[in-house]
Amino acid sequence: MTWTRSLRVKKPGVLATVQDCGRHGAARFGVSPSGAADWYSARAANLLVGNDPCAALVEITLTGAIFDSPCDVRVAVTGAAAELTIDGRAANAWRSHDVQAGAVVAIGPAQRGARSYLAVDGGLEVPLVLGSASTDLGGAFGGLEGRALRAGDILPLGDVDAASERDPGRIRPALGYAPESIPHWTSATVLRVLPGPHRERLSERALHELARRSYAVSSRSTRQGLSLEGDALELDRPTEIVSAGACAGCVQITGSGLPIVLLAEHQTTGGYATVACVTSADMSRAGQLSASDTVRFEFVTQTDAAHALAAMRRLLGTALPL
Amino acid sequence: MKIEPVGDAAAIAILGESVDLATVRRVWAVAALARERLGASALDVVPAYASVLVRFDPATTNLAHVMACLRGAAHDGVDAVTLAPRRIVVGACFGGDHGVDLEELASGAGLTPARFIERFCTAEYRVAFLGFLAGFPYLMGLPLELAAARRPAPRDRVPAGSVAIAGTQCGIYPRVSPGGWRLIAQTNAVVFDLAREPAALFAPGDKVRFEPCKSLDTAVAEVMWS
Repeated sequence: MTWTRSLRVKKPGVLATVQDCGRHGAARFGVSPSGAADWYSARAANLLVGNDPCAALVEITLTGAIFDSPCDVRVAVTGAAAELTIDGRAANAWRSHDVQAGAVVAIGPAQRGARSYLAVDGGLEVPLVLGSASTDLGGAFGGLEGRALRAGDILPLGDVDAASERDPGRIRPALGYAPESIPHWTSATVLRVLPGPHRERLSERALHELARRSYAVSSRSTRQGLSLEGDALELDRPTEIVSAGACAGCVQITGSGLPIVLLAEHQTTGGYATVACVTSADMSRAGQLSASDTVRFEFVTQTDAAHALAAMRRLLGTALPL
Repeated sequence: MKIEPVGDAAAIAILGESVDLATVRRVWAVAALARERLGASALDVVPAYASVLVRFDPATTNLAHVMACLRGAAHDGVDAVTLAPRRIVVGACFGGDHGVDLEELASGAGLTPARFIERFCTAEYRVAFLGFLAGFPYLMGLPLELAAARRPAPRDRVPAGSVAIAGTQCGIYPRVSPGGWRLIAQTNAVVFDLAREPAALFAPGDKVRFEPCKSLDTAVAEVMWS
């Protein structure tokens, strides 16, 4: 008997969504790129199961989630530091596992970091909307019916090579990352930033203060952005600008003098000054922050940013047969 | 005019600091040129009132290349002469449950609600760009005497189709959303529909007028090609 390859959601936790590398090309229609909040962990999970790094996978938030499948699948869990069990037995994250039909894959609450990624070989097969599988929660489209996953949802999986399906262990050895390729999440995080296009809206002193202060991540933070709390910056000029395009990583100063950091599902345009921008490398880390974590900003150069990104991309390629 | 990096994966051409038709026409021209010249190197080209932002993948595309291309587009993109504007008439029900802020805005402007509606519907608007929510049109051309500040705190639930004012800006909410704009009317026009190609009803450059309707059922949009 053959089963349609699929993944079943047994418990979605507080928020689980289908994501990929994002929806590009529709920002001019007001459509957010969305996509995985932590690009490094999401790509790593896909590479571990032999998928394209941008294949659709599940992003799991804070409380963990539970899944099973009616067929044999290869899975990998990355992202937040969380307990992983397969059929009740403890298993390591950041490596692939061959899971037998019916076995339960349980991802525990995030102990450090905020988001776990579950990739399954073949990738999740949901209809592409404007070229992407990513869920846009604000727009209520993409992913599975434009919404967060619910218990009982069935996510179809793409095909995998028939030969490897028959004999997964021999044809495709399990893959894993060495500890040095696995990010270590901490509750106090430094985000490296580049000067933003509207930095002149802050005085030299306020810009200096922005890099000196420590901010707490507010519980109002979402996939749209991190809202930060702490001592407000002294503003000599309004931080409202003529609405302009924005992107993930933009550090904007609201009228109250506090920063927000735009994340994956940000609005395409906004009316607050972008005084700094988180480097692409550190957007992985930004996507792992949650309420009560603390953040500092450290100004770096474009060269530093490019080196940091190249280093992370090299690490992504280090998954080795076990 | 200035071209600036926006982090290591985007750059922006800032063409001005004000909201006016001459600047936004230049934005349309620069955005079109940037899109054409950057091709697949650009993940997104995002025009707004007075700027054009380009997102790219730093793994495959170089920041200096994007900035040079934006600089060239900003130099060559003088005016959107080739843009053939469409005319869109948007039917809308004004006041009451359909526009809960109408009376307050009218009295603030020293007008009767009827006069406010008449002034609002006599004006012709231009779609500057789409942003905020999928398909949300930022409309220019609101008569200055109808301008009104945003609410101090946003509403949790602005109804879909709400026609709204913030400062001298005007817009239409494509779907239910939190929002701080002042609500004067509601339309039944489908502003964003993924089953339609293109999904967005409005596009930059469109000329828009509003027409008062008795019932929401008839408050739809009519698109005319000029």
